[in-house]
Amino acid sequence: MAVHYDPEFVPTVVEELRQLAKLEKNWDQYGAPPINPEVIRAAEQFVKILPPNLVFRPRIVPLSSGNLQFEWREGEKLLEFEFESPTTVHYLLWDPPSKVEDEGTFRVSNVKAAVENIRWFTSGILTS
Amino acid sequence: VSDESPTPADSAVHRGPVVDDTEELLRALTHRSWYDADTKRISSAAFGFPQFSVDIASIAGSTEATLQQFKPGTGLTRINCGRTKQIGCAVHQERDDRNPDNKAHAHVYVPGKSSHRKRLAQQILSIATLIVEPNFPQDDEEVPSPS
Repeated sequence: MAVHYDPEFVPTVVEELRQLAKLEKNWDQYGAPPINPEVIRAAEQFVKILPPNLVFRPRIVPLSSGNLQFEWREGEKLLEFEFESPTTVHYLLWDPPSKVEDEGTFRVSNVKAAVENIRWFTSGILTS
Repeated sequence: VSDESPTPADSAVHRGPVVDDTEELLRALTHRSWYDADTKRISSAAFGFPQFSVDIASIAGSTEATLQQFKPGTGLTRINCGRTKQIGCAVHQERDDRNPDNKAHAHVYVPGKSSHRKRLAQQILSIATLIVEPNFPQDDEEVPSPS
């Protein structure tokens, strides 16, 4: 199984999430609200319950809705986990060359669903 | 409101004039995290749901005129109005509440339901052309650059 050894995964991602709490109203210059602190906390809890060494660190992107998303990309292949509420992740699996264009939701606490999506992303792109 | 409620793109309430298919639309990349300089990729976060603001290029007059509304370092991307409509979006010239003097302002209304919105964002991304790469000053660092 593919792994990505990264003992700093959790502390680094958590720190980046905490930086999002510093974004003030209109941070996107289009009038966005601050990032929802409950969503930030949910994302922190989410990364802490993921199995270790599963994948490289995501890009952490604030959204104009006041939510945030994790993005993993390798070439045309894309995985997005949008924390659309403190309890729900809206995911996107996107790989047009392989005709994969899937999206849906799972509960933030659903580690199995998160891991399945991440393993879809890492399949074929990470080596042990 | 149900998560599956139709977006404003499905209704026809109190909309401004429809923007012509031939117009080009300018969307600012207003946050450093919305563009990955390493991969040269724009994030779907740049195209909000259920609507996002653009400038109509022919009315704005120049990319500089649009960028002047934003902080130094803001990037810019262009999408064709007709192709945006082919995806299913509605495009209407409407007041810019952020900048009421901006006569070039329009809203792009993203169609469909919440359960399809991330795929639609990717379709919009697929027709977007980067014309000014974001280059925010280092001292404008509100959020660390993503890993």
